[in-house]
Amino acid sequence: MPVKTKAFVNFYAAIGALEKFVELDSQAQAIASRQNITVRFNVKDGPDGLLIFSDGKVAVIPNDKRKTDIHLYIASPSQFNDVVDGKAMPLPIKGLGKTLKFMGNPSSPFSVLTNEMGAIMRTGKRLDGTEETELSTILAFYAMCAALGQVGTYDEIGKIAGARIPEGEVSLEITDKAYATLIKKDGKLSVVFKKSENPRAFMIFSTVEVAGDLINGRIDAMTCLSKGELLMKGYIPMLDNLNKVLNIVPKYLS
Amino acid sequence: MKTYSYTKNRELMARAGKFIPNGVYGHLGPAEGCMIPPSAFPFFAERAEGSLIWDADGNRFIDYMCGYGPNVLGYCDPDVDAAAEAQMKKGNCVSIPGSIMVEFAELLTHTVKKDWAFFAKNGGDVTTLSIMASRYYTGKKKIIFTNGYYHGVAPWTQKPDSPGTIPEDCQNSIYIDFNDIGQLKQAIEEHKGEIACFISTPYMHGNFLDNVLPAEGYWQEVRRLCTENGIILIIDDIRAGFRLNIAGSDIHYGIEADLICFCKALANGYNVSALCGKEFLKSAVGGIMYTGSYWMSAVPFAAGIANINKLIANDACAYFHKIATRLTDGFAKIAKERGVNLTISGEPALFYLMIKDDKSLLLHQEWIAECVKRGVFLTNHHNHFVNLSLTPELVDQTLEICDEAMGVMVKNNPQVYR
Repeated sequence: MPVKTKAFVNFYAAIGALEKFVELDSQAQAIASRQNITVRFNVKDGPDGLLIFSDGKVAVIPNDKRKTDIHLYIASPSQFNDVVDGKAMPLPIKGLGKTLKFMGNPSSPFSVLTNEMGAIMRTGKRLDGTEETELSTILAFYAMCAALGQVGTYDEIGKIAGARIPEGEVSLEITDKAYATLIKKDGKLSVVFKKSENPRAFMIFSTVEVAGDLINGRIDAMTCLSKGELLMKGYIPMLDNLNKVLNIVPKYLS
Repeated sequence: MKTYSYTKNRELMARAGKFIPNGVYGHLGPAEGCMIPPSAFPFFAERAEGSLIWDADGNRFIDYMCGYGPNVLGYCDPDVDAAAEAQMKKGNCVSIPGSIMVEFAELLTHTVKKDWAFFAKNGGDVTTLSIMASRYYTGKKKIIFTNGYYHGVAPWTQKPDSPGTIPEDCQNSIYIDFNDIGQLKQAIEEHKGEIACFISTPYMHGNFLDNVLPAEGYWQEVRRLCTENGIILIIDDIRAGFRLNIAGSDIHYGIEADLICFCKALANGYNVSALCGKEFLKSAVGGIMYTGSYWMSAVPFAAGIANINKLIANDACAYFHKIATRLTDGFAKIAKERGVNLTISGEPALFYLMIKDDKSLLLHQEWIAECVKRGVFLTNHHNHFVNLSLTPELVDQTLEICDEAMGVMVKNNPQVYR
């Protein structure tokens, strides 16, 4: 698997899902609300982005040169992927003490949040065994949406399809539960975790269950389309090309 | 007007999905953007006759897709079916071809003013053969396409991001815009001595855009450039063939292609396609081992002969233009009266519709859905077709239904239509 694309997916989709985990889960929010910190993940030849904990919220954004508390330098996308997999520690070039406190051991807030979120997303259960099926699907939905933007930008095949997505916004929805927007503007793809105000096309999962079954490959999209459980409408060339990117996403998220 | 429900259609799709990929795969299924929302559309036909189809629930539709082209005389045309039935009694798929193949080749080549005909089954069979023959004859690799093209589903027709395609399948593809002679000249200059062929539909009848007719002198200039540079000129007439001109769309637009591909309207639904060409390419095509189990079945040849003779006898292309113009003029009138910006493009016999009051095309999709639910089978984003059995009375019924459907769409969108 191309490690550079995987690194971007890991940062914006895997770590990026923390945004929604903290928003949707009260236990996670309680942990996050005690943090007020900006961490720069600076990956050579990979993502250079910020993880921001502020006012009980989390944001994962590209580095906008703001002041940071921790600056982590990671020598390669491959090494960053190992960090995300818990196989390596990044090198802090600023904020060693804060790094140790924030993510230095299994009881550090970053570790607790990512381990709990990872368990929920992988198994549908918390580390203590509590069922969290709906939250698991919703987090997987947001991770999938975030990954679309990265795979459509960096994957060798994905970027061909990504380049052909016409300008505009695609609304990605689980009805009444989750909203994300894929934006193509000035030739660039991005994803935000909010409802589109001016969508040109729609991909709508009727329920969390349908979204979960589709994301996990338990049912096929065509069956859902014909049953009306998955609705695609609007400017179809956006969705045709988005779907080609979507086909590639699972290999980066698995 | 009562709208349709599709209980049996949905039950059948649920069964189909268990045993057939996608339930209904490809362009006849709900996944290819022609049926939005799928809930408005039938999925399975029970029977068809003339310009009408009845779905699995017994709903009746006036059909403007014509099987996506093959229905050119009318479903279950008695003359074509009688010819096919007579041939079936004599033999169909036999160890040697039926003698009727020769008769069909003579009639077809005479009709389309070409020197030879090679028969296969589907459009993609013969577009692929046209590329192989061009490469074999010229010894060159590259293919010039016009953007928005559709020449089938073989890997050479795809883009590298299409599932099942690899980048190497597309590395000899050059893409230019239809009607742009400057781009064609530039492509020839940049790839001098490398281009085997230029393949194009006779006009741009792609999806999600207004269909574009050839500019004055365009085809003549393409013909000249191809001849001067040793590039084989291929017309993909699979969709438009026998609907604009019985002699083929190259003749319709005043040129002669080196190779021309026919399929859809060739035998009124019986499965046969043909590559026709000029004498100088005959031995090249003969030198390629290219065949299939059913390609010389006799029944479709008999159907093809009856079909072409009936098209000629009824001056069908003139009728298509006349009846389709009655329909499209009616659409334009309805839209104007309701304040809807409906564009009708392409040749009338293959008219393309698009409401342009929003960038998302949702309004267009909503109108089409309301038409279908009331018994006019249109699709969202594909050109439509007419056939010889379409009567003025059916056209007028169509317009009445589509007017009501447009009224519903307008009423549902007061933010757009104040």
